[in-house]
Amino acid sequence: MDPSERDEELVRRSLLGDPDAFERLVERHRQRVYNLCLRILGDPEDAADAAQDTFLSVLTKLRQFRGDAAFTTWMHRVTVNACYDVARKRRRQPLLRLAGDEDLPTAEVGPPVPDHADELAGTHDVVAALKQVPEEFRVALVLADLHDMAYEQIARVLDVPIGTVKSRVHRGRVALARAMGRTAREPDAPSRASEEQA
Amino acid sequence: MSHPDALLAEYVDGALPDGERAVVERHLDSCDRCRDEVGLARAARGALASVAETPAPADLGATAIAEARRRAASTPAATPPSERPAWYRWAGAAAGIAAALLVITLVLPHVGSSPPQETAGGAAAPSAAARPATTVETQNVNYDLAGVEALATSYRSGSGATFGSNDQRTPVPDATGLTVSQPISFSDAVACLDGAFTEPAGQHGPEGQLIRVIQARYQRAPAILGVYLIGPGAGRPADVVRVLVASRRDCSILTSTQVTT
Repeated sequence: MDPSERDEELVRRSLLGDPDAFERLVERHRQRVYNLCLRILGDPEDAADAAQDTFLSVLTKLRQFRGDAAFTTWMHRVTVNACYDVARKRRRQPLLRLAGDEDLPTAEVGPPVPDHADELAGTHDVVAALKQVPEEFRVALVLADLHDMAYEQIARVLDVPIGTVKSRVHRGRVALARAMGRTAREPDAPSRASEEQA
Repeated sequence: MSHPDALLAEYVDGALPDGERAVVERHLDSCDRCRDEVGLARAARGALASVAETPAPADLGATAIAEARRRAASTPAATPPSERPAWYRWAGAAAGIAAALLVITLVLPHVGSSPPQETAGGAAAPSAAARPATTVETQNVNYDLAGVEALATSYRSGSGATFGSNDQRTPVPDATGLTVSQPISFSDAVACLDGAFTEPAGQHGPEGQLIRVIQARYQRAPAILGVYLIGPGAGRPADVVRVLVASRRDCSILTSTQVTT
């Protein structure tokens, strides 16, 4: 890569007031940030909101990026925090949701999502099952298995010990498979998940 | 029996060193629970490998890019050195001597050239001058609560914004489908904010000095955003920035936020 296009160089130029450099950063990471938000939150509109918040936070907090970690690690941390914030706001402000959103699954922070097997009727794939995985497991799982991030880097993103990351990934995988299994047992809901397990 | 959860993830990945893999396999020989879980985890890992990326909306990040451009447009030439945000000063220092020289070059011609202005903040507040808003700034931007909070925070000392930038029209990337189609007059915009945020028994509009009026969208709904500086009174400088957001359609309250400078 052209050295002038490295993330850290674009950060430096952004801090000097070069908005084109900041735009390059956004363009480069837009897809990754959005997909991380989408898999964590499970809803396209929430994901877009969280991703927008992420880039605003990146702009506002850019001077706090000390360069002692990779920019991507720092940006993933900002993204995960933005997702947590959106999930919390959604629970605090149900009236601000658009009409018709009530039936969308709500991402949970903290305690595991209850096992509502009935609500899985009609969900057809691993993405739908992913929403049923408790959030702290889901975040680790998405970073590891969808974003191909090393456990050590995930530990830096989440600021938890690496052993905790490995446990969360394992528990997340088990929870996901069980959610897919519930989907597969629904007679009217043939799923890709069931095919994967066969 | 204790279960080696932390090792099972790497076991499923096929990434465990030989010694630890042997330990896990001995455990699996005698533990139905972990054996079942390994099977489930392998199925889940395989299923996740089939998940494709979803294209991001094309305008994702437009709000932040617009804010970066607004800051860039309002920062370098419009303010005397004492008003330069810490963001800019820090950046100059971090960039080394060459950048510092550039800053000096940019700054020196403006020393002493700024007209005397009533300052909005004292020691704890930004020292930028607060000019009352006189125009409506149109932004093709879809704000959400975090965006409104970021707008308020941007007026904090050292956060990179300057007061009174309402007069500076900053080009904003077009957010498809979210463009502001019907410009509103300044007086109508202020009346809308006043209507939304005046208590029923109140005689006046919102507290504070209105320094910026933005026509944009909030959570996709057409909206008017007002930025107010609020002081403790008794002639003391403003120490609170409040952003009020009213519906363009019916002048109802959409949201509000405030930060202490």
